[in-house]
Amino acid sequence: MPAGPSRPEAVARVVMSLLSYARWPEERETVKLCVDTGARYAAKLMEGGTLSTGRLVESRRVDMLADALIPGCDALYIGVMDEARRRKLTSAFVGKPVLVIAEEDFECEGGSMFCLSIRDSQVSFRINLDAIARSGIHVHPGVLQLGRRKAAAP
Amino acid sequence: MNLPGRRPSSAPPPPRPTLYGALRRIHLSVALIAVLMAGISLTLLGMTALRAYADHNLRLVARSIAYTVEAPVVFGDQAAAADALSVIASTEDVATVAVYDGDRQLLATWRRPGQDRFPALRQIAGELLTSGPAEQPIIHESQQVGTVRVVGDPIALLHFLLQGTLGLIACLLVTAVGAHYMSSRMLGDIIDPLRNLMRVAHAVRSERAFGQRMPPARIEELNALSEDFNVLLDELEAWQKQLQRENRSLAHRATHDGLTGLLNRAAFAEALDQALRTAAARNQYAAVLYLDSDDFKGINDRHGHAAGDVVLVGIAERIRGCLRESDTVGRLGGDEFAVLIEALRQPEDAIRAAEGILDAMNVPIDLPDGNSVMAPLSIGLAVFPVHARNGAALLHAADAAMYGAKRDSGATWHAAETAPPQRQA
Repeated sequence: MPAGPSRPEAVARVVMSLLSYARWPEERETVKLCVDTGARYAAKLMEGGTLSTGRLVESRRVDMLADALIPGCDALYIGVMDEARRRKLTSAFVGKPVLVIAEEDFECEGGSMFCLSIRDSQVSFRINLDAIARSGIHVHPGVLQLGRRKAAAP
Repeated sequence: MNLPGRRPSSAPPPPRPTLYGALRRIHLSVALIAVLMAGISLTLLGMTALRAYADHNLRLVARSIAYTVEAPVVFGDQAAAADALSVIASTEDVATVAVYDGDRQLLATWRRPGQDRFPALRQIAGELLTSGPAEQPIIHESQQVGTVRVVGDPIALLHFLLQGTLGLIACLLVTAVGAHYMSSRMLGDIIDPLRNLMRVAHAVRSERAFGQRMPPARIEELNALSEDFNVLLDELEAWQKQLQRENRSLAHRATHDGLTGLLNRAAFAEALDQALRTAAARNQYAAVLYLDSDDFKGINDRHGHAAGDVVLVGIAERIRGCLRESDTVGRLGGDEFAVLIEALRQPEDAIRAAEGILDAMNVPIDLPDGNSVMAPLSIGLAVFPVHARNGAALLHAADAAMYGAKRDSGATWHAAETAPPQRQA
């Protein structure tokens, strides 16, 4: 799609779609999306929006490394996965019902559940089944299959 | 009637169809029409049902594809959508599948390979046999995110139609053969008796073969017809025999004397001429005896006409009894008799025959009233070719000789005068 949407738009679309396929253990009217300051393509995402399920998405910016505790996040969008963020993720989010999406984590083993893969304006993703299972968030199998397919054929 | 310049049309009349041909044609037509109707209606019914199932199947395929490509459509993943399409569509009877996203933009498409052959045929078949492509919305969380459009492959329906047509043709062939066989068998029962009837009627008409009879037929009506015809033939045969008997009797009466059963004058003259021709050809003698009762008038007067008849019959019997089977006896009229003796070895043999007859008449004849009476004869004798060379002359000579005998004394014989040698060829 040469004249297609820009990268932030494509990213926003994929993230919102992922959120629409997710079921939290306790249902909520509004999905609170926290966007890490390190994310590069989160401009569009910051506008928030409405999911196809009818739920609202409220976005706010957080600094993963600075904020000691990041409460009230249903989903977290983080930028480049470095060692500091990995440690923070492991300590603060593992085992909690927070959907973690990494903007750049090719191996997708850093504790995030979905890892985007951005080429031009085409955005696909991989999944980390282990992280999804531990979080307690239910993700539609169709999405899991989509992520696994991508993992199998890079 | 014979108009000049107007000739009867020279075109021969069209040949009349035979009963066998007509009935067989009817049988065949009925059977073929029945099979054709049944076959066509079954095929149409099958087509309709199959079409309904095909449409239903197409919608199911569309729905199944819609479920499968939901996530790829939501994520706008073209490759994943195309993969999902081909996995499902390749095993189903679909020609093309297209997936559109929420903005009606084409996301992925799939075409069955080998669809390029006979595109026109496929299009026509598709339009005729299917009710168009199936569209199914792709729903994600009760919102439409895209559309699946599936076009069915009419090849399965075409196969069915082709097989149905082939089956129909096969059934038609089997039916034609079967109908031909059955009608041949059945028609044999109808046609054979009719042909027999035709043959017998023809034989009776052209050959007077009244002895012909119809064999019994299997079919009730035809059997009755045959029996009636046979009875009719019986009556005809009896009638014909009666006619022949009467003819023979009439012919006998025309040539024979009613009282004595001997030949009459005309028949005797004819037999004489015939015998003389034979004798002349074989160079043999033939003799004629002319016999006349000497006292017949007296017997009639004394004993009545009934007695006279008895005497005449008695004379005839005795003459007959003295002669060979091959000799001919005639009653020329009244009490006059004539005998023709053929194939004489010598003229004297005729004299012996005459004397034998005279001896036989020496015994009295019994009358019905108990009396008996003598009936002496006078005999004139003439021999071919000694005394005459033709029948009338010979008879005349014998007659003259008989009068000689009667003048002499009666109850005796006289030979004819030897004819003067005239026109000896």
